[in-house]
Amino acid sequence: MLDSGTIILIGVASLLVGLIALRHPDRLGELVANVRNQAASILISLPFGLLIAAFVSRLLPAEIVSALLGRDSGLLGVIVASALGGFIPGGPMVAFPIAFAMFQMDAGRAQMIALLTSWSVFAVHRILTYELPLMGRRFVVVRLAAAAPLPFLAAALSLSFH
Amino acid sequence: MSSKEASTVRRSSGRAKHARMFATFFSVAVFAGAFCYALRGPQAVANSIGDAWSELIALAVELVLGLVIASAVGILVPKNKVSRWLGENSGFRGLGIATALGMVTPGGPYASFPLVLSLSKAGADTGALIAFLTAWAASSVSRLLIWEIPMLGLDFAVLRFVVSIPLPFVAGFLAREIAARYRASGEQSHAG
Repeated sequence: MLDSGTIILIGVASLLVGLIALRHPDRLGELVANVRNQAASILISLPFGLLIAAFVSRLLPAEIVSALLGRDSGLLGVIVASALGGFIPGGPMVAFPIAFAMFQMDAGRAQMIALLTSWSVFAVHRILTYELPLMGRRFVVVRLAAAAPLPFLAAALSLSFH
Repeated sequence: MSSKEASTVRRSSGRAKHARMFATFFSVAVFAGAFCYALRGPQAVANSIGDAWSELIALAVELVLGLVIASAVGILVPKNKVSRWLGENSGFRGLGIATALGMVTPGGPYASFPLVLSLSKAGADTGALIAFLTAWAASSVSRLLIWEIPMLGLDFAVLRFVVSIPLPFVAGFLAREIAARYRASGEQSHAG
C-alpha cells in the first residue's frame, strides 16, 4: 500500500513537523488544531465526492462526446469541449483514459486541449470536495470567473503552433 | 459578546455549515446514484461504490499527510515573506513565483488546496493563489511526465503543456482585477 509517492510525503511531513518541534515547539498545538479542522471539512465532502465521480464516470457517454469533438467540429467543438471538460470526474486515472479513448476516436487537437484544460481548471468534483469547504464561496466565484476564458485561450494558442 | 460566547457561536455555525455540506453532498450522491441505476443498472452502482471505497482508503493516508505538510508550511514560512512574494502588491513577479510553485507542486488536491489555504492565511492574495492553482492544475510537471506523455504521446503532451504556460498569468491577472472590483463595490456599499 505504501508506494514511493506516499513514502516521499511521509518524509516531507516528518521533516517539516520536526522543524516545527525544534524551532517553534509552542506552535505544535496550532498545527494539530489546523489539521483537525481541515480534516473535518474534507472528510464530509471526500467520500461523497469520490462516489459522485464514480457514478458520473459510468454515465459519461464517451461515444457521443467524441463525435461532438471531431477534427472538423471547429469552434463549436472547442466550445462543447470547454463546457464539458469540467464535468469529467475523478483524478488523472479517470480523465486520461477518457481523453485517450477520445483521441482514438479522432477528436481534434484543439478540441482535446480545450477539454483537458477545462477538466484541469474547472474540475467540478474537485471544487465541491476540496475548494469550497476550504476556501469558501467567494474565492471559488472569483477563480471561476478568472479561469473562464482559459480553455478557449489554450485551444487558440494550440492552433498557432502548426 | 464575551469571547466564550463568540467561540460557542463560531463552533455552532461551523457545525451548521458541516450539516449543510453533508446534506448537499448526500443528495447529489443519491441523485447521481439513481441516474446511474436507471441508465446503467444495479451492477454499475455496485461497481461505483466499490471504486469510491477503495479510492477513499487509498486517499485517507495521503490526505492526512497533505494536511500536515500544508499546515506546517503555513507555520514555518514567515508571514512577511509570503506577503512580499505573493501578496497583492507582488505584481507580475508574484504571479511568476506562484506559477512556478504550482508547476512543481506534486500530489493531488488533498495537498494543494490545504497549501493554498495556508498561504492565504500567511498573506498571499487571491491573484497569486489562483495563479498557483491554475499552474498546479493545468501545467503540472509531474502529471505531464507520469500521465500525459505516456498516454497521449510526446507531441500532443508537449503542445498542451506549452500552450498552458501563459494560463496562470492570465487567470491571476484577471482574478486581481475581479477581486479589486469586489472590494471597491464592498467599500461603496459600506459608505452608502
